[in-house]
Amino acid sequence: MKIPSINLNLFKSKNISNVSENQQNPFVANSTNNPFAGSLKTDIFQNSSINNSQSYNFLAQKSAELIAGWNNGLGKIKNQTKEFLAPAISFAGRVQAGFKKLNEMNLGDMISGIQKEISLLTLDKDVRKYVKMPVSDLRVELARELSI
Amino acid sequence: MTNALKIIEALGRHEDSEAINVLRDLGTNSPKEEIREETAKALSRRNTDESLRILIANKGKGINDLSTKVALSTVSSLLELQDKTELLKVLNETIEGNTEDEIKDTARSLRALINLSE
Repeated sequence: MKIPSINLNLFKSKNISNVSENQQNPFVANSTNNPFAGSLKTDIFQNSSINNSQSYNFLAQKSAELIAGWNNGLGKIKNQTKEFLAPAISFAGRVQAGFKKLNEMNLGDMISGIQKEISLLTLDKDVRKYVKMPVSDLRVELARELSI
Repeated sequence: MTNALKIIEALGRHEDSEAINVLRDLGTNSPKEEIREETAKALSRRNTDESLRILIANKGKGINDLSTKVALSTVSSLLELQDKTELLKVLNETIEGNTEDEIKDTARSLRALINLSE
């Protein structure tokens, strides 16, 4: 888009203190829904080589670009924050899942399982071996031992 | 420790409850006192209704063994149990429901001993 040039002298020819409050604000338009849609209340551009419509289109365009840029920037920041926090969020998730699993576990069973493992460690190595064998094999083994 | 005693100890700690049947069939019927004694300890350690019933409600086994040494050793291992809930339940059921007076009397004596030691 071609950026229109603005004659800076146009502001010198106007006594702004005489205009109403609305006239001092170039963004106040007839339409309350779209501040850029209506005609300009003030005539600050009246001596300009560009007309009001062009000025407004330019301002609207730039405002839109500014807003879009800002939103884009915010989006980028948001995404970068997400990426930055992702490992922490993932870790927190895993910790939370771990605690959930711990809560679901029966503490009594867990403790008795640990106690059982510890008591096995103190046993004779042959006893440990027999504990791991199937009972059917132990029956045969014991019968053989007792018959000797 | 002989291999037989090691197997008996392993059966007392085995996670498969079928181990109780092996101890009952082979251990409690052994002619050797030492084997019966260790079998009683293994059954006592399992501390289940089934294992305790063998030691309490059967003639010639566990606390009813003809050998004083085996019987007293069994009583001792039962008294050492930290959780006696199952033991008291089996004793009460034996005292109320067993047909053998001798078995009832022995169970009653053991219950009295537990009450005294508590």
